[in-house]
Amino acid sequence: MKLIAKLVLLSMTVFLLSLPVTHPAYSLDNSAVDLLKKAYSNQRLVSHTGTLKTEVFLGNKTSSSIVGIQQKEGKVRTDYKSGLSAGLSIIDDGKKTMTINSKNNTVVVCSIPDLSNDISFLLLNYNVMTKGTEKIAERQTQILQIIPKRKGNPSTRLWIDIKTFIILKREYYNSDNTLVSKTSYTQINSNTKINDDVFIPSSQASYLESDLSAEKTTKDGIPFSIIEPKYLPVGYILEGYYLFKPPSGKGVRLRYTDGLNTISILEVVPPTGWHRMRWIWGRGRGVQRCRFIDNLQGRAIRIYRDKLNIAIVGDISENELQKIADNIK
Amino acid sequence: MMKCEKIQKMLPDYSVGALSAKKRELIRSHIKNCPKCMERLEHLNKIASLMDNIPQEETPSYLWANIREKITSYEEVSFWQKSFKWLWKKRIPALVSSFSVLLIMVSLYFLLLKPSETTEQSVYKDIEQHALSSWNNPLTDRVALGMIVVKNEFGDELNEANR
Repeated sequence: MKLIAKLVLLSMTVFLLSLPVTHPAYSLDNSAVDLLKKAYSNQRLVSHTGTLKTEVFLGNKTSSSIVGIQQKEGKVRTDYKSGLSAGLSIIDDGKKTMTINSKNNTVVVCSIPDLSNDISFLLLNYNVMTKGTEKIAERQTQILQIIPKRKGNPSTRLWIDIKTFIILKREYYNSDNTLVSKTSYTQINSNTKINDDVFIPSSQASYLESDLSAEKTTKDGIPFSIIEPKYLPVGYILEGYYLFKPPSGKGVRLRYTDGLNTISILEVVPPTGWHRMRWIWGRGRGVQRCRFIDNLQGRAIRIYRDKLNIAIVGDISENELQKIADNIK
Repeated sequence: MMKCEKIQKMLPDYSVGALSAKKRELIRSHIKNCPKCMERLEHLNKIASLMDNIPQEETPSYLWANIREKITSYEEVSFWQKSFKWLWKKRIPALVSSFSVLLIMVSLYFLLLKPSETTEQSVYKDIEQHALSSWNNPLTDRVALGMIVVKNEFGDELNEANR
């Protein structure tokens, strides 16, 4: 009897020891995952001020800006000081953004849907690994690389402050493995006192609502019949439905994610009456075929199904995007 | 008594029997007592008898064919030929009505038919909508994204870069 118990104990030990090499969830660099989890949860919590340099690469063009940042109690103020965005400021409280244009004294308010901070879904589709250390803005950082387990998805590199877990530098590579954006702190200060007023725009400014605002809803809350795709690339799940206001009619965005990357399916139902005539004509003159627009944020396809104007947008391969479009029926 | 001048005006019709009975009786009673008018009537009767003696010419055989051809060719005039003729006759109202039709069509194009925004623009709007959906993902580079999505002027450059 003792022998049987010993054998069971031994086999269990062997099984547990073999887990890290047999199961993908356990083959991750645990220190890297822990660091990423801390970075996830600390992003908005650490109060600080700083200066960053951001660069966006579009084909052979590069756009850059020097940016001032102030963060306190979950609120972030970003001031673009140079480049084409100079004069713009964004106040972000986690639920909405307020874009202040100092040139014409306007504030555009845009509601931002809340997203889960759960890292487990990301770990199912991406490998997280450490790639050495580096000093950024005179702080010691650990470099993390997040690489997709399946080709045709984006990847990212993060430089995480080992003391505060703030991400001090980011590089984002699209699904073609091309660097599309790079943002890095050049200076950071955690001890500066930040006045609450910086997170409140001027009361004399004109307030406008952004046409990019979206509100999370349930499937039953969608005011028209939608078509859901019968095919999705491996690793993606439906994250939620979001109502938005298109230029005419009603719109809902279906958001699919693999933890890092996103696929959006925007479905717009035509308006009624006078505007419907314009919509029908516009549809007839618009793009009937699928087309691709390479962009920082990916590619887009426009299709028309069952009186719905549908756009599929995502940073995935053309083939996958086409396959989704073919399976919306 | 009717004046000779009036009677003489009616004499050619009287000579061929083309007057009413009342007028015939009037002339008859006048010429009984008026030798001048009687003479005039006899003169007219003479001319008539002379003309009756002239041999009658036969109708040319091609005459009817010519007339038929004219009628047929008139019937074959197309709608556009007729319209053009009409337009030519009524050219000023036609020009005004043409201009009005053109004006209505142009107004319809701008007010009703012309889409409010181009497909290109709406595709970029879709991309912006998509990009902004990940704003609250901790891995999103919000500083870079803000520069792209929120700034309209930069959006224009983004579009330019992709053309």
